Amino acid sequence: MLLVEDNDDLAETIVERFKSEGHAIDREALGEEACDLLRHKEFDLVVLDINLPDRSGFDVLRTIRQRNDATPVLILSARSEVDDRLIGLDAGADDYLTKPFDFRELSARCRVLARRQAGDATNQFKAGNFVFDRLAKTASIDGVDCALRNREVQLLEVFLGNLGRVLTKEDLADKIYTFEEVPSLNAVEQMVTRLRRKTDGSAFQIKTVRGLGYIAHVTE
Amino acid sequence: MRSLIASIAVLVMLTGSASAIDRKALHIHSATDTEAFLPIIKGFEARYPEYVVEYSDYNTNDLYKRVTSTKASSEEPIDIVISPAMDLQVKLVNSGFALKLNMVGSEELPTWAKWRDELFGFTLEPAAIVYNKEAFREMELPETHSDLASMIRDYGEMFDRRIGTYDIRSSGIGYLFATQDAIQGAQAFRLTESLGRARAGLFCCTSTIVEKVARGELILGYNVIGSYALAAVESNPDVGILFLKDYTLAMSRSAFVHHSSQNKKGARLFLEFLLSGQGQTVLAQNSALLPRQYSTATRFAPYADTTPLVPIKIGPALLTYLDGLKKSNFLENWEASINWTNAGP
Amino acid sequence: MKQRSLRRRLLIGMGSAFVVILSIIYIGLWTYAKESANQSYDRLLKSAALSILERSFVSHGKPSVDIPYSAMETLGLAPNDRVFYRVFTVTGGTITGSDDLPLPDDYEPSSEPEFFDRSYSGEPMRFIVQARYLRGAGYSGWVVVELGQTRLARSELEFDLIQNGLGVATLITIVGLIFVWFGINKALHPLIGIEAELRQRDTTDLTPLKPQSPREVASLIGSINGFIERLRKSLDHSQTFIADVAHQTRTSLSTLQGQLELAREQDNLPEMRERISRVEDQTRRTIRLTNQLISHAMVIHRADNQVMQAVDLCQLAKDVLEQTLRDYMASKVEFEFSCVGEEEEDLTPIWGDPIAIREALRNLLHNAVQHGPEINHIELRVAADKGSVSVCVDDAGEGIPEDMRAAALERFRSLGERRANSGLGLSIVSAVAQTHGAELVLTQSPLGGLRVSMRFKKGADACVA
Repeated sequence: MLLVEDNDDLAETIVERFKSEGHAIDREALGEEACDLLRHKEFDLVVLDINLPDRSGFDVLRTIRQRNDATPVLILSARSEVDDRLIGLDAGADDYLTKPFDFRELSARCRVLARRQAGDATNQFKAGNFVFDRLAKTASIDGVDCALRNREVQLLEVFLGNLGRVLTKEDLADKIYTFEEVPSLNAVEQMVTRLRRKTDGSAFQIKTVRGLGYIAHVTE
Repeated sequence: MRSLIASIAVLVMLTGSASAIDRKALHIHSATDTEAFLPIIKGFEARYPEYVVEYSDYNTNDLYKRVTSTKASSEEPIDIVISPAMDLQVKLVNSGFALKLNMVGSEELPTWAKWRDELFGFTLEPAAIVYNKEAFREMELPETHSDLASMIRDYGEMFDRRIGTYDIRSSGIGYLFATQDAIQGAQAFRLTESLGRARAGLFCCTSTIVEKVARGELILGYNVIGSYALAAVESNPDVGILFLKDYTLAMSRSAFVHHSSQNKKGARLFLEFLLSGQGQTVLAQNSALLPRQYSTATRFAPYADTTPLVPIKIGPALLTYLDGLKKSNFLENWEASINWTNAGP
Repeated sequence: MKQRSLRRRLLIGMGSAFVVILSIIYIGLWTYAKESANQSYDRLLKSAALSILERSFVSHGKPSVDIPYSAMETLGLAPNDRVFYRVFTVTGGTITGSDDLPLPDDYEPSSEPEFFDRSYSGEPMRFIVQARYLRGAGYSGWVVVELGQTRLARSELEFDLIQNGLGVATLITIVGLIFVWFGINKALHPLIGIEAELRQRDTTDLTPLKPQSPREVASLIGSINGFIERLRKSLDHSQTFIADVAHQTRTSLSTLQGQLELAREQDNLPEMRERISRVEDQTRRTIRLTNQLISHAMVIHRADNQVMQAVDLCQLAKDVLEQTLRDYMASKVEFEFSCVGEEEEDLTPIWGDPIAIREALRNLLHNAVQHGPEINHIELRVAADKGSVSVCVDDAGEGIPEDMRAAALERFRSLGERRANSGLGLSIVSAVAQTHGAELVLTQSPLGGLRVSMRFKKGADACVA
């Protein structure tokens, strides 16, 4: 992975943390150099600071995306205006953290992004004791198959693709049912309940927000 | 009737500062003896050598007819109209024949001597009585109009056919004096009747009356023009002159610039000259006329203190006796009184 | 915008008033002058006409007239005017005079004089026609006299009257303006006094202005003094705030330093770990304190800069909730959301600063999580009616006793010291509510804990800068 951060102390701490977790990590202090580097080398993940001395992190991000580079990007910001987040997501960032942050939170977010990237490649999603095989369409907890039905697999895929995002029942119905089928919100609700029961005790969890929908996350 | 007197351009040519060709003509139509007016023309031409005056003399009624009947064209141009018949002058101005002038010095003129900044009186000439000194040697001269009327009645034989006065039917100035006398009071009517009873002779001009008085053909001339009379007396020692002391009418010879004058600038200069101190001095010293204001230098000066002058006021009131009906009535009455059929020419 | 002097404005106003008055006077004068000039000289025409009519008679069976000298003399009182006359009968035509004088249309002979204006002989003229019925041997009928006079004397009199009238009016105007000038200066004198006093004032001098005599100015001084008082309080607040911030951050950092030193001196590894985890807790508290201080400063700063726009509270609340959910994903807190209007169309945007409102909501949600028990239920509800949109946050925690709720809104009043809390959260909410003119109410929630509700009024005028 690549860390783009101009503050040496913070950069050193992050690099050390990731190395101790067994990840390979490069660090650049300037946006221009980071852009050059990204042109030649592929990374699983980029952690990008917004306040860089030469050019804005948003600028770097936009440059990367214009090259059709889909490398996941997590943005770090020390700005107080919350709008940074929206601008970052619009510019193509995958996630966002405000300084100062909890390092455990940082590595958790990074893992999710890296996994998403890696998962697409290996067709396997792993989180703690939970494994989902995209090809075989099977999920297992501690090696025990969850015995998911087709629709539940579809639902799980939707959730895994939108970890940390709120999904309304309507969102889910849209994604699971085809145009001809008559979607029933009630059926969606029952399906989510079933999926939650079948994955109970795993690192994969679905939280209900009454009046809003569902949000899925994985615990480490 | 019109008598065009020779241009006096020749006179000026001798002093000649400007050539005749360059000089602009100024046409003055006037009811004033050429001889009396000549010094003024000379004075003007000396001062303004760029102008040459063409002077035409008329009697008052003919002058009026000339102005009203002809268009002032360039063939027969009229620049200035001068007449002692103030009523006719007022009528011409009232009919719009005059040009408005904003002249230097005109504001100093008394109200009786100007009207509308168009008509300006430049002389003051009293009505006078001339008498044959020889005939009056034994008699006291009358002092008032009533005195005169009584005297004529009382000495009927002596005055019979030996009084002369204006024929007011043909003389404008005569008519003016007669009508103004009528306005002054009833004694005028009595006087006219007395004149009629004495079979008074009627004449055209002051000069004729003075001549006849001098020759003794007449012994008294009534309401003659004082200025001419005063001048004539100088060369006729037999003739006496008298101004009545109840009132003495005084007329002002007046001038206006014709509205279609071809030489407005010159005309205006002429009027300014006429009213100026210089012009008035020329009048007083070289001419038979009397200036508007009397000084010791004028011929009238000896009489000035004892004569209550009544200047005839220039103004619309003078139009009254020019009214057709009024005039014919007045003349009718006058003829009846003067009994002219008995009077020989 | 260009600033105009009050004195100049007053002067211009009064000047314009005088110009209007002068114009009215002028129009009045003009009418009056014309009428009285006509009246005066019409009297001449009338008496001249009468004197002529008196001298009309029948002679030899025909109407005749003897124009009296006095008639023309009377007209001569207008010294420079030309005069025309005509005496005529309707049937027999002109008896004497100018027979081309104009007549009014449809003239009927009458013993009443009739006046009219007409142009004749190249000049505007005033005419009178008046008739007399003659009875005599051989003739009975109307004899009409018509007199015309040019308008010179009338115009002159008119001009004189207008000139004199305007002269007086102008004099009055000048005197009036001088009085106005003195009046304005006198009236403005106290204002100039206030200006001088404010200008000479030291920036640190926040004592009230001395009262001045006129009532109108007294209220102005009252307002200025009120403003000075508010400024003083605000400065006091800032000073207290800075002192509070200094105290809080320094205390927090001192604690941190102390705990770190303790940890370093610990030889026993498990005990050291224990110390360090307390250091971590303290660090988190410090971070939260810093975040809130910045957030508070930001909210106050934005309020000063007027960044209002249309805000969809429903969408905004959803966003904030989603973000909060991510922060507390692992906790056992349940969230509930609703957004309803009394009527469908009540859910319209309000006028506000979305970033400040977002901060307020986030602090409310964080507070609810922080102060509540581990297993908690938190509701975020947006409710709209015709005139307002309310946002409520309910929790199932312990709540705040009624007598302490007002104090909870003040800065650094942390009620529950147990958890990481700076005590700034509710004061941020309070500041946002204030800048939006929103009603902030703390009540007992049916869920058992605290209910905080903010009611935003619709319409821009509800906002207070």
